[in-house]
Amino acid sequence: MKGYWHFPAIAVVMSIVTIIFSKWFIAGFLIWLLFLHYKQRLGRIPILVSLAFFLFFYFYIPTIESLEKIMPSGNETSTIGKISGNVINTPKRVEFVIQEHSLKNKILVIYFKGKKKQLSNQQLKKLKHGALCKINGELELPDRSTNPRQFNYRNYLLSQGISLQLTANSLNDMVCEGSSTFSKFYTIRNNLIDHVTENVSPTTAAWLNALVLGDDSALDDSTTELFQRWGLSHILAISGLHVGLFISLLYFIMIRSTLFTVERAQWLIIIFLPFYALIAGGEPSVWRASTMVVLFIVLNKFNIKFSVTDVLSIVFLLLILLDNYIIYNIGFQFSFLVTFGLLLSKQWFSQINSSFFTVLKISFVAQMMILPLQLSYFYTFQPLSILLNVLIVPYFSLFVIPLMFMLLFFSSFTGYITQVIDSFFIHVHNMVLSVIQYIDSIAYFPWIIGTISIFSGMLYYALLVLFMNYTQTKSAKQAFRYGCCISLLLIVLSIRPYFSPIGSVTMLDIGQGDSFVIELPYRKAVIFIDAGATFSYEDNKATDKNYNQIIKPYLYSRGISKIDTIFLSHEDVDHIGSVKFMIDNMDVENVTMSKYFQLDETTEARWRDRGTEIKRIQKGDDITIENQLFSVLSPRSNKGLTNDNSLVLFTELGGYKWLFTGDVGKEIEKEIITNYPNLSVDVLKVSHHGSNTSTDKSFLEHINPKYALISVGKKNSYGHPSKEVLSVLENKNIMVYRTDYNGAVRYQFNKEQGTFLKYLP
Amino acid sequence: MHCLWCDQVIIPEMSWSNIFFLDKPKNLCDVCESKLEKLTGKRCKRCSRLSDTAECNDCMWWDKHLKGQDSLNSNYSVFAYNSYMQEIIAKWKYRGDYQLGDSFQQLFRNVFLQHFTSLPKEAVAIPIPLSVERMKDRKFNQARVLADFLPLKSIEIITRTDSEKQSKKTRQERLSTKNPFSITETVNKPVILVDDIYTTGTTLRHAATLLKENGCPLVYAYTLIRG
Repeated sequence: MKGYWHFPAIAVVMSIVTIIFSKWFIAGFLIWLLFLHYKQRLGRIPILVSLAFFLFFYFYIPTIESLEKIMPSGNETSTIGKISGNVINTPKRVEFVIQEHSLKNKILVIYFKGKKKQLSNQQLKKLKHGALCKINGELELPDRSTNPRQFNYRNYLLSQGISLQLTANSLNDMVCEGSSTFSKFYTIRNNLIDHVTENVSPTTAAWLNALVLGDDSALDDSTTELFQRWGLSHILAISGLHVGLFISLLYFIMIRSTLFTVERAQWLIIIFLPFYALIAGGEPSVWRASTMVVLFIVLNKFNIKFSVTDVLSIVFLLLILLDNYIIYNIGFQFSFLVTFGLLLSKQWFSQINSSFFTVLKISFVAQMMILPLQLSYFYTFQPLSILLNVLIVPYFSLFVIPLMFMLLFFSSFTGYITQVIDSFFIHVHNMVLSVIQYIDSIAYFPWIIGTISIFSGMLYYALLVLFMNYTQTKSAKQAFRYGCCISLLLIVLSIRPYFSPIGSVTMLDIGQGDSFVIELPYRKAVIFIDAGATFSYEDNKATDKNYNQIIKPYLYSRGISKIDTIFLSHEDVDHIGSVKFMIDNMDVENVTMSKYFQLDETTEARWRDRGTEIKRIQKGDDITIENQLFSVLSPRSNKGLTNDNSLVLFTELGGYKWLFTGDVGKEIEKEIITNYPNLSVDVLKVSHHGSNTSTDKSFLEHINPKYALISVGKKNSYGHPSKEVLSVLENKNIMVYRTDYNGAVRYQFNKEQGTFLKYLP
Repeated sequence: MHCLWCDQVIIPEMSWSNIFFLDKPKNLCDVCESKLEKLTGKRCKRCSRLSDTAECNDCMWWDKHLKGQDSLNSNYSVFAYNSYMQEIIAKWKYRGDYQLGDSFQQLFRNVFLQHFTSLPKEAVAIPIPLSVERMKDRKFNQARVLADFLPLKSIEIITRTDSEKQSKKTRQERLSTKNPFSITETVNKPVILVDDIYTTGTTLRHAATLLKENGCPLVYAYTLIRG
C-alpha cells in the first residue's frame, strides 16, 4: 500500500464528484483502476482499499440538498444549543454558531450591535466555545441566491453544516453558561489579536494578524481584492509557506540557543504545532500544513520510509474524516490541489539549480493546478499572476513573514525595537504595495472565460498531466503540442458564445429596481436596459452591492467583459445606480439615454474619460445595435418628472415583440397608444415595478400582451406591485413573471422560438 | 514490495510521468539498480563489447578463425560484468535464489524492445539449455528464465550433451571444444538465442551453427551480460 495512498484519496474525490455531478465518474475511475491492474501496475490491495473508501465517503459526505430539507419548526422562540467554533466579534456585529440539541443541526446566531456599540463586556465574555446557550429569536432560513451565479448565502452556510439562522434582538436574548477547554485557545487567539492591535501601528497590525494569527479582517478590502485579482490570496491565508517558515524559525532559535537538543526541539515542535494551528485560526490550509509537518517529523523519528504523496493523501483523508463539510471549503480544495501538483513536480523542480526558475516553476504549477476551480468560482484568471507571484512570494517569505513573527515576539516586551521594526516595515511594505498597484493599473488584463463544466475540467487535467509529463521528460515537441491543446481548450471555452445561436433576455432580480440584460445570438452584442442599485441608508448613495454580487458574477460567468450599450431609462438610482460601477470596471462602449435625462457634468466627463460614448435619443429615433432594432416610443417632450421622462423602447426578439417602459405613468401610456395606434406587444415590462400609477387597463387592452415582467423587491416598503395592477393582469389572462417570487427570469431563444425560465422554482 | 537484493521497502514516488499509467512495481530499489552497470556508449555492433571501432578485435578474430562464415549474426547485451553483477549472478545461479532473476525482468525486456525493433513477428526465442546433470543441481535454467521475460514465443528445441562447466575452462579450451548441442526439431524462422552471459561467444556460436545447419535463416543472440 505504501506509495499508493493517493488512490484512496482520489477515490474520495471521485465520491464527491459522483455525488455532485455525475455517476459516470465512478465508472471512469473503476475502469482506470482495472486497467492499471490488468497492466500489472496496481495490486489488488490498493484497489480494494480505494473502493472501500469510495463507498464509505459516498455515504459520509453530506449533500447540500439533504440538508435543505430542514425547515424552521414553526414559531419556536427559544433555542438551546452549544457554541461551536469561534465567536466572531466585529464593530458591527457578533456572530457565532450553535449546535442545536433537538434538531441535530447547526444554527448561525447573529446579533447586530447597531448604534449601541458599547457592548457590555460582561455578557460578551460569556459567549465562549462550548458554552450552553438559550437564545430567543425566530429561526429563519438564510437568504438564498435569486440570480444565476449570485453568491448563495444559504448554500454557503449549508456547506458548513449550518441550515438555519437566528437574529437576536438584544444581548439579553442570549443566555450562556460554561465553556469548553477548547475555548481557551480562542481566548488566547483573541487576546493575541488585541495585544497586536494595541501595541503595533494599525497598518502593521492588520498584516501581522493576517499573516501570523490568520485574521485578515483588518486588512482593507482594496488590498484583499488586489491580492485576489492577482492570484496572491494564498499569501494572506496561512498555509504551508507560513507554517514552514514558522517552524524553521522556531527550530533554528531552539537549536542555536543551545537550550534544546535536536531530539527535544523536534518533540516540542510536534507538540506545539497543533496549538499553533488553533491559534492561527484553524483554517483548513493551516491544518493541512501543520499535520503534514508533524507526520514528517514523526515518521523520520521512527525511521519509517514514506512517500510524500502518501503523507498528503493521508492528511487529506484524515481531515475529511474529522469534518465532512470541509470538502466544500475553497481554501481546503485549493490547498490540497496545489500541494499535490507541487509534489508531483518534485522531479521537474530538481532539474535546475536556479532558485529564480524554481520559484517560477512553483508559481506556474500552482496556477495551472487550480485553474478549473478558479474558473468555476471566479470565471476569470490572470496569466500574468504567475510572474507577479515570482516577485511577491519571495518578498513575503524572506522578508514580511519572518519580520511579522519577530515583531510579535518583540512587541510583548520592548516598545522601542517594536517601533523601529514597525516603521521600517511600513516604509518598505508601502513601497512594495504601490508597485503592485502600479502593475495592476498598467497590466491588469484578466482573461474572462466564464464557467467551466466538470467535463471540460477533467479534460483540462488530462491534458495537464500529459503536458507536465512531457515537460518533465524534456520532450519539448510533445510538451509544446499539449501546451497548445490546453490553450486551445481555454480559447474554445471563451469563444463558445460567439458560435451559439442562442440569445436571451434576462430580468435580473436586483431587489426593488430594474436591470435587464439582452444577449444577442452569436454574442453579437450585450445590451443592458437599466442597471439599478440599492441605496445606502447613511448617505442615500448607490452601493456597489448589486454590481458586485449580481451583475458582475452574472456577466463574468457568461464570459462577458464588454457591454455594447446600456440604455438608461431615467435618473433614479434603482434604475441606473450600478451603471457607474460597470463603466469603472468593465468595457462599456455606449450609454444611451433620453434627451431630457439630467446627467451631471462630472459624471459625463468621467464616463467619456473611460471611453464610453454618450448618446441622447427621443421619440421617433431608431437605434440599431448589430442589426437589432430598438424604436424609441417616448419621451416626446420634457414632462418635468423623471419617471414620466423614462425611455420607452420597443424591440422584436426571439419571435416576440417587447416593450420596456421604465417608470412611465398612465399619462404617458395614453400618449403612446395615441401615437402608435397599431402597437401590439407580446412581452410587457410592467412600468414602475407594478405601481398603481401605471399599467392602465386601457393600455393593456390596446397592446394586448401575453407576458408581463415585474421587477420588484421582496416585501418592499412601497407596496409594489399593487393589487389593482395584478388583478388587471390576471383578468386579461396575462402570464406574470415577477422577480420577488421567481428570482431572475430569463427568456432564452433560438431564432424565433423561446421559453421563459425562472431561477426560483 | 521489497528490493530483491537489499530487502529495503520500495516505495514508488509519484511524478507527472507515472501518475496516470503508473510504473510497473520495481523489483530492485533505486540504490541497487544504480549499481548495475548498463552498457552505454560506443560498442561493437557484432558482440556488444565496448569498443571505439565498429568491430572489435574479438569479432575480427572470429572472422579470421571462421573464414567469414560466422553462424551468429550478432549479439546484444544489456549489462557489463562488474563485481556487483558477479555477486548477483552467483547468488542467482549457483546459490539458487530463483526470485532474484526478476530483478532483470523490466530492463531485459525494455532493452530488447528498444534494440530489436525490426525483428519479424514470427521470430522465436531459444534459451541455451543446461545439461540434464546441471539442471538437476540447479533446478532452473537461468537462460530459460530470461527468455520468458521476452515478448516472444520461446521454444526449447536444443539439448546439451556435455556436462562440463564452461566457466571453469580457459579461453583456449573453450574455443576448441566440440559442439555440445544437438537439435530435436528444425526451425525456419529467425531465432534469438538467449543466455545470461556472452564471454567468448563459443557456446552461442555452437548453438547458432547447429540451427543454421538445420535450416534456420537468421540467428541473433541476446544476453544479459557482456563478459
